[in-house]
Amino acid sequence: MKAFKLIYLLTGILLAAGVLFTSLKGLPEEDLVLYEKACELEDGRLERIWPGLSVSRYPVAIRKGYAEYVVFNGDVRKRKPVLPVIACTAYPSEDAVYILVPSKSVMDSVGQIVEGFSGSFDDFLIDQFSIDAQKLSDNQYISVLCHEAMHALQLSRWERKIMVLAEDIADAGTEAKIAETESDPEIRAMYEKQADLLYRLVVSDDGMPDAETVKEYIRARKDTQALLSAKTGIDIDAVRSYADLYELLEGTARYVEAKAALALSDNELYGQYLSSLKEISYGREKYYMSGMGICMLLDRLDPVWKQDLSGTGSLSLAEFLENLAG
Amino acid sequence: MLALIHNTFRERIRGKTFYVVAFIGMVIMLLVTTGDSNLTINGKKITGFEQMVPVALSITGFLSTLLAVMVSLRTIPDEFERKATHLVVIRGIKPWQYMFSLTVGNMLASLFCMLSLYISLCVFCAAYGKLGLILPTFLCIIVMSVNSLFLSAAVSVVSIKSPVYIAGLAGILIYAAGVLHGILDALANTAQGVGAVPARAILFLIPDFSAVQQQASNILTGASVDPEPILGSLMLLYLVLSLTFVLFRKEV
Repeated sequence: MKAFKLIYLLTGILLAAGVLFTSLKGLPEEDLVLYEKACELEDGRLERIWPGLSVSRYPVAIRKGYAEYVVFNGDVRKRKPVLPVIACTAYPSEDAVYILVPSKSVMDSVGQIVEGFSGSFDDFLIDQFSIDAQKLSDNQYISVLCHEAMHALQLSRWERKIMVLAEDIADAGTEAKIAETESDPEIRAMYEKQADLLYRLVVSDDGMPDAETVKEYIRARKDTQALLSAKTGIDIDAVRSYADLYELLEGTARYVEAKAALALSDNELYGQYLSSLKEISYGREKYYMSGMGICMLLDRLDPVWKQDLSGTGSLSLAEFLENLAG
Repeated sequence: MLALIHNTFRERIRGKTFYVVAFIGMVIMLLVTTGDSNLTINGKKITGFEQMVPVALSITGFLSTLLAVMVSLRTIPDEFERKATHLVVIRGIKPWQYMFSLTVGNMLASLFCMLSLYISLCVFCAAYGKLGLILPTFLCIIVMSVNSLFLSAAVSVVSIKSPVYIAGLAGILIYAAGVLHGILDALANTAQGVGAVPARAILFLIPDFSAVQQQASNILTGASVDPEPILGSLMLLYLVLSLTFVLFRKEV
């Protein structure tokens, strides 16, 4: 019996040592490789997607478990997580703007935590019970990194303008009131019409988007905002500012994400981004889609619109589209 | 103790069990690997034996965990009900030795069921002339068996103190939490407030079944295997097994 107890105890010690050793090994190689692949896009591809866009310019904090690994200038530094929760985001600190992403294995578990596609329930079940539960492809992960790099760029360039835009929707109840109204069949029908118009405009083979359809889209958008204002009692300017803000922040970032997939020659992934335009989405998510769609239209209407956007007083993508479409 | 383990194993695995489980496995493999399958994953039709192997392994893993719960559910409560515990304890066998042996016997029976299902896959590998798949699929099954062993041990330990239905429910909940571990962990990490701390603590005590399955998949695809989730699960299995040293029912 003594021998049994000794062997049992030794087994426990060996297992504990193994767990401790593997948990101390630091940032997985896989994450470093993906980070480096994202940096390789700086060979001109990121600059073509958005002038000034860069991943390596910002420290990237990759969170795994209860530690964060900050990758910057060839160094990997371990630290305690800055945020109490895991998230994909960019945040300004005293020394720099940081990009924050979970590690690939964490993203695999939950898909894209904040920014992703939503699959069907069937797909979810198949994925969870399947032996290979991989959710996110390498290219998707790199695209998400580029998405967050876009947020870092926004914070560097547009912070003051974003603050002004956000002031118009300072009422914390705005988002909740709009979300409540989205169950209204009339609103849903208008969202559907908008999504359909935008999808058809983006995927059409014509060189220039059809000006009449663009105007119809703009009209549908304004009508929806007017109806939302009437149903929620929120001032129309606040409803418009709300849409403009999230299209600017998240729409441009989703656009960068999609274009990064294309830059990685992943046409299948890019196709998924295009297909997502025709899906009806609610809450903030719909502005990710509409903002991305508008950016894609602006590319065709004015190839240098991004420089113009930085110079103009307004940062409304829809206003920009309306002006360019005449 | 070895005699007790052997006896428990034999009682759980009667002669017929092997044939029944192997037959069920054969039928499943036959359905999965032959005929004009309508199975599609992510919109892509799954055809061909090699593509079917991960599907067959997924089914084997799923059935094995269910069998692990079923096989382990009644062993210990039955011993107490039949007053067999009393007969064993008065012969000088310590309660912890008895509980430990019954739990290990359950675990071996669960492993046996999993291997019985796997034998069916081996037969089909041989029939299709894909003998090269036997070794990687075997390693795959060994890694996946960590999940079944944990479930079996956890259900056995819960059944020491709780009625059968509580142990069964606990087994199903542990399995669901283990499979959805990554998602639940991420949700617990994205949540703040009072509930987040106990949620994280509970998840810390449940192995990440999907991460273990992922490593099994990596063996099959030749990708690098991360030992961390496997060792983590084995450590938790060890801790659960250690609970048999301290748990016993008052009524013997």
